Amino acid sequence: MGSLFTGALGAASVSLPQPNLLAISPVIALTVAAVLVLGCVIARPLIRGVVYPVIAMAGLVAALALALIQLGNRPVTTFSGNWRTDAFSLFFTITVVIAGILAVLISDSWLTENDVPQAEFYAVLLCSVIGAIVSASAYNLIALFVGIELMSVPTYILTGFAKHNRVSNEAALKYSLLGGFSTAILLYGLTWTYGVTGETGYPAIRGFVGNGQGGFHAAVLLASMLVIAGLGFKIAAVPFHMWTPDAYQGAPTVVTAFMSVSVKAGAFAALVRILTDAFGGIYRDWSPILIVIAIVTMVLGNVVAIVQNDVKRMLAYSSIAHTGFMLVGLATWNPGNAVGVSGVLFYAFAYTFMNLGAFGMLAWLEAHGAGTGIDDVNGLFSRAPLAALGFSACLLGLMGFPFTVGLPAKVFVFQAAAGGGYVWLALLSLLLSAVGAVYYFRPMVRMFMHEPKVVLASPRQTVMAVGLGVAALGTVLLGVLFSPVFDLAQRAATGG
Amino acid sequence: MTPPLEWYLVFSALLFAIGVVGVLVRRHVLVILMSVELMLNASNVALAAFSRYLNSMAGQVFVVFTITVAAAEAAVALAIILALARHKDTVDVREMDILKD
Repeated sequence: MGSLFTGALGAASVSLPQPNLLAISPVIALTVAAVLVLGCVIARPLIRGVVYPVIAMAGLVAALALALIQLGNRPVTTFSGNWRTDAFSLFFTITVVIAGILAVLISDSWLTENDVPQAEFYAVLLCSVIGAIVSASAYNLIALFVGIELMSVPTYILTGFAKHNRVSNEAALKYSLLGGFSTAILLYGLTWTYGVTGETGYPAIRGFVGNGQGGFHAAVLLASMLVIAGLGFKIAAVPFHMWTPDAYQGAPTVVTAFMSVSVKAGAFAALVRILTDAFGGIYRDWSPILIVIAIVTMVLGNVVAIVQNDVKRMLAYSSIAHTGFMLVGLATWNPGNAVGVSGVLFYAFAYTFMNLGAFGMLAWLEAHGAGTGIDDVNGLFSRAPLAALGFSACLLGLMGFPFTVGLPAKVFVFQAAAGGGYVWLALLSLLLSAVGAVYYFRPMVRMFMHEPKVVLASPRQTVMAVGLGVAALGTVLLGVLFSPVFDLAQRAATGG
Repeated sequence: MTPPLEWYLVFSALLFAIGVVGVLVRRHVLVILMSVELMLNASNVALAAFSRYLNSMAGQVFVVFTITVAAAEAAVALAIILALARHKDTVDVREMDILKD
């Protein structure tokens, strides 16, 4: 293609870079689906509502397939070094696309029953998935920034999607203002990274930063701290977590289910990549700071979750606690110990099933006329045994119970911490995850042992049941058959 | 005579600090939103200055992306404020207190 343009422009030889389209094909599939969904709005009188989720699902399944077929390929860096498709980015692509698929399945009934504009919902949801993929594949500061924003801004909209509900509005406002604040901090960090190193590509930045022996060390450190703070907001790490309980509680439950896993995965991918690739040389500087953040995040999340009387808010604090567990894996990273990062990857994958399932079950309760209070789950087992069992599977997974995916996820991360010489940190994390049992068991006891308090309506929720079944089964099956996923995570972490 | 790079960076740092203080102290949602924009523009000033002094175009490309993203974010935030103001005639964040511990 380059030669075509050379002729036209005469002596000035302009060579257009030939982008590798296969590398970005999952994003192309999702973009086409998002545009198609919106395009169908024009033909709204002619088209039945069912077409929107079908298009969204087709795009997501196509993206999943396109990511899976690239798994064996060699790493590709394309778009002038802005984009890198390797096992790492593909792992996160698969994770967030699965989150998108499950989200489409569980939100179908909420959308139709509450008369929410469907096309807009699916288009915005797909945009957020695209943003998460871009965040995970970015190999350049500018691409990273655009990816993070493309992921976050749609979730502000999704949070406020129940626009006649004041709680949803308030949650969206808090989320968007604090999200914008964190974006500005992240951007300032990226600006300084660029200003000090003169580069925007990760490999070039790594070359400049080196081992932190050269000049400008203080400025590089400042830049990396600002980046950690900015992305810390997105992953809901303490002390940048203030928005999390409000946004998660106020958002429509199906939206909470989606964003609690996909935004966390996308932002974690971006954080892992920029810290290990661009700032890998100065890990001795950021690692202690991340360890402190991880500890306070685990402590606050687990302790505050205990006193919550609303299951949705309790799960919001539990998601803060899980950020802490995942940070343990990243904080103990060093160039010779990449196991922690494979633990983070596996954790993000496992978390997609268990957390989306847990929030999805709350959405199922709401669809049947119950609330999200702790009393609302009373006696669920006697009314809907399958729902109670699925909910329990997800809660046990979040707890880290044997025979659920939560256990290997925690073991891999804590093992990495111990292997990196932080045995005390591994033990502390173990202790804090035991605290989790207190609040995860509470709704379970009520489901199985208390008398029902709320009478459940019985609408047919087939599509939703499929999504919840996949999430619950995934939580249990991956707890036994975790090795293929973990092998892939290990390959991704070691740069395969 | 071109001012030295430090002047731009100090100016940018001041803008950023004013923005941070504005977000943390002010209670009017629109003022908070403007403070966030101020923080984003602090980065724009620094990026443009870095770009000029490093003789690298990447900084200016970054500025274009930042402006676009800031516009998208402001549009979404304003739409949310509008939706909220329809329910409750207020723009004071102290009165947005349904969600709390």
